[in-house]
Amino acid sequence: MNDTTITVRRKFDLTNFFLSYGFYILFAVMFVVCGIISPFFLTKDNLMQIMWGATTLLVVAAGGTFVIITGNMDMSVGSLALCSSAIAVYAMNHGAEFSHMVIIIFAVGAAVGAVNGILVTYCKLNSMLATLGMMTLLRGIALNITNGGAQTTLPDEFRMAADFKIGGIAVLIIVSLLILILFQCILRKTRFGAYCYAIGCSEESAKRIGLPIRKVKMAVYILSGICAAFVGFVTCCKVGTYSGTIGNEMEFDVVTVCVMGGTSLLGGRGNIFPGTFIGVVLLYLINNILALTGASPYIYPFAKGLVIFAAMYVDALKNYRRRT
Amino acid sequence: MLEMNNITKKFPGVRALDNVTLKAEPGKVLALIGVNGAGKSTLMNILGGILKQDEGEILINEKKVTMNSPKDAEKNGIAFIHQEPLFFSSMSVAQNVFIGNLFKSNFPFLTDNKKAEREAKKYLRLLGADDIDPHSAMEEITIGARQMTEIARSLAMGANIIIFDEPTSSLSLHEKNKLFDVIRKLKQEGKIIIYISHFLDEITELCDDYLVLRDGKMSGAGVVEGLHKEDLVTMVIGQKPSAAEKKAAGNLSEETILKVSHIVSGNLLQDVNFELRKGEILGIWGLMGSGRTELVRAVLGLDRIDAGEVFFMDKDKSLKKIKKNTLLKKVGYVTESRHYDGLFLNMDITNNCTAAKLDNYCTRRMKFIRADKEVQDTKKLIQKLNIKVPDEKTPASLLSGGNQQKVVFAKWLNKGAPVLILDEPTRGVDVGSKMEIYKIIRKIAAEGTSVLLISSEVDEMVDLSDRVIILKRGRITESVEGRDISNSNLMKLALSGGDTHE
Repeated sequence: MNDTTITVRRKFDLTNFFLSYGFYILFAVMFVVCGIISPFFLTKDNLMQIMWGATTLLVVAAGGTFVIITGNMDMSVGSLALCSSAIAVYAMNHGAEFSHMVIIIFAVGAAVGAVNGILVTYCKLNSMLATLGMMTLLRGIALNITNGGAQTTLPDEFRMAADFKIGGIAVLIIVSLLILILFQCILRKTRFGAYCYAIGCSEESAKRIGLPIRKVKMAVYILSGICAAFVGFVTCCKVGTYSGTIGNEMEFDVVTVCVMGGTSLLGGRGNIFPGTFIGVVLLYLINNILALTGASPYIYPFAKGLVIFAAMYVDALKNYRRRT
Repeated sequence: MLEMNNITKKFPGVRALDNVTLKAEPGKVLALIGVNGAGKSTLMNILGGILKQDEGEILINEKKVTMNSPKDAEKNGIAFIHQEPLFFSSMSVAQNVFIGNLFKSNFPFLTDNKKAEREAKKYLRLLGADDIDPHSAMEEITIGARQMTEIARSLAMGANIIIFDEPTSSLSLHEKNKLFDVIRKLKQEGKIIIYISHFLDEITELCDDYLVLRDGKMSGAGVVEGLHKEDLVTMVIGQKPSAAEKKAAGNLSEETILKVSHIVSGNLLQDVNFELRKGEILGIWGLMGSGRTELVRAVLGLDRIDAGEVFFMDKDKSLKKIKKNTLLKKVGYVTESRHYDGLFLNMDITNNCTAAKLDNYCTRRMKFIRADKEVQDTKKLIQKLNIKVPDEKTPASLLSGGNQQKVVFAKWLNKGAPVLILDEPTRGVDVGSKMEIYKIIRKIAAEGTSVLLISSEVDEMVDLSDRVIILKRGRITESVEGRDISNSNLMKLALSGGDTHE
């Protein structure tokens, strides 16, 4: 056992290269191919359309990336988006103003995030199962207080927020991108971000070194909760009405795009920009090109399913190679 | 100056530490020696604030301190360098060094990674490890470099007392020498160093003072210089009566049932060869980290084999090369942790006993299980192995450790496996059951079953084995038979010359 046998890991390895950067390459290729297939694809309107669709998922996946990097899951985000807006609608029916509704939406997000955090840290529940329970529970609350998810027209301010533009770009898109960049900064440049990675890498080591594991996990869930509430708010803005379909299947989209962007489900590695960002845009790109080529809308879930399999398989391959 | 005076710690039923006094001076390396279970870890856990002593006190620079948590230990400047370094694999070396106290940048909330890298470089240079790039990720650097990073972290956290817990067990010779240089450097700076190791060579090379523990008591302490190795061995293992009768060396069967040739696996196992003969009890002896369990896992195909082959005697009495994973189907494997992978705890004894050979208890076509036959055979096994149970329907979880282990044996006996692999077969078993399990092992060997025995208890090795191969840092260095299998000889072979192969 001389040292050459141990320091072998830095050599260039084609498989590893593809595993690490495959989705970026795929993204670039998709972009070019889509441009060739449909002349309409590369127009400003269409690209804006993609971004406009992606705003909600971008923000909630950014929050979700934090959770996954610490080695946990948050499956309650979709229901939380629904429930927080349902509670806002309930408040509206009891005389609340637009501004109050916005505050309520975000407060509910933060509160539910905190409950998730308590379940995972203090009650020591498995994060996946705890938040799955929360997912069902929140949907139940939403159904109850809105009489089975009946559509409700919201105050005009919501639509106005959606139509508000700066330099021809919807302000919601700008806000989402700013949040994304801010979160990436937090992840890479702050102590909190470093702790997230450390806990995800090895919770045991983090415990022995004395890092504040519980506080960090609580913060991460609260962050994820607020991001989910943002989805509720933005969806209300876009549509102008409340409906029971807000946040449908969003939790699975979050996991998919995080993994597509290179975040490991075992925790400890990944990033929001470019990783999760590319993941989200890629997912919407697929829908977009299917729509442009006039494919049947019923094929969308099928295509998405294939993408999920591919992403999970690549993640499993990467984890296997790291271990051996 | 660190003093631990008259420390006593009781666990239910045992005195883990009995009136132990440890004195470590600045600028000196104190060796802490003892076999597994001698009380080293207990003593260090008390120092680290993980356990609380029942009696005795800890003084640092003549001031009494109390350790209620690992945080307290850290505040008192105590740091541990573990056998397996604590680290965060995807993060940079610099972040790993300063994870406990990251630098703030001038910009509010942000950390200064550049400064961390500069400061980490300083600490690494201090340790003579300039070649480690503070920017590279932990998973990309060698185990030795990870250890250096951990030492740098302890210095960055302001440690004055540094405890090395068997730090060389996964290092190459070159890395080991480097580590020793670093420890000497720390010594010169007046740090208090406690060095825990099994390797006597390392102790004579590196340490100034020593403290030997045996069965929770101090069995020796003093200055290393001028100390004879033989005396140290006696202090470590005590004077033991010579071993019981062995099978004479020539009496072994010539038939080879399992042959392992040139196995290379992972970072540890290097070119391992051995043969297991019919009816033989072959011991694999080595210290913690020598690769005992890894060897068995590699042979069974549970871990990846990078090179080498495994041969197994077929029905037609010829050795055939076997595919990976298939050995497990042919042999019985009594694992180290029966609660984890040895027993179905929630199931009753009958189901446990028949689990490995369920096909025998099925109706021919529809594969219904014939419970009456199961019970019948289980009753026989209970009688044969003297398992003490109310009835054969008792859940395995309700049995004592010794009886649980007997059920594990019953399972493999029922399967009729020609080879039994025993990994620590009497761990957590009381003395009475231990003797009975020894009897069972000898009996099945006499009936023609071959046994591969792995144990960290030297007495067990000596009592049971017909032949012992010595494993050291992933290589077989020696093979002893008959009278040569004795307490002192085995210890000597395992302890001395840790690096003869370089």
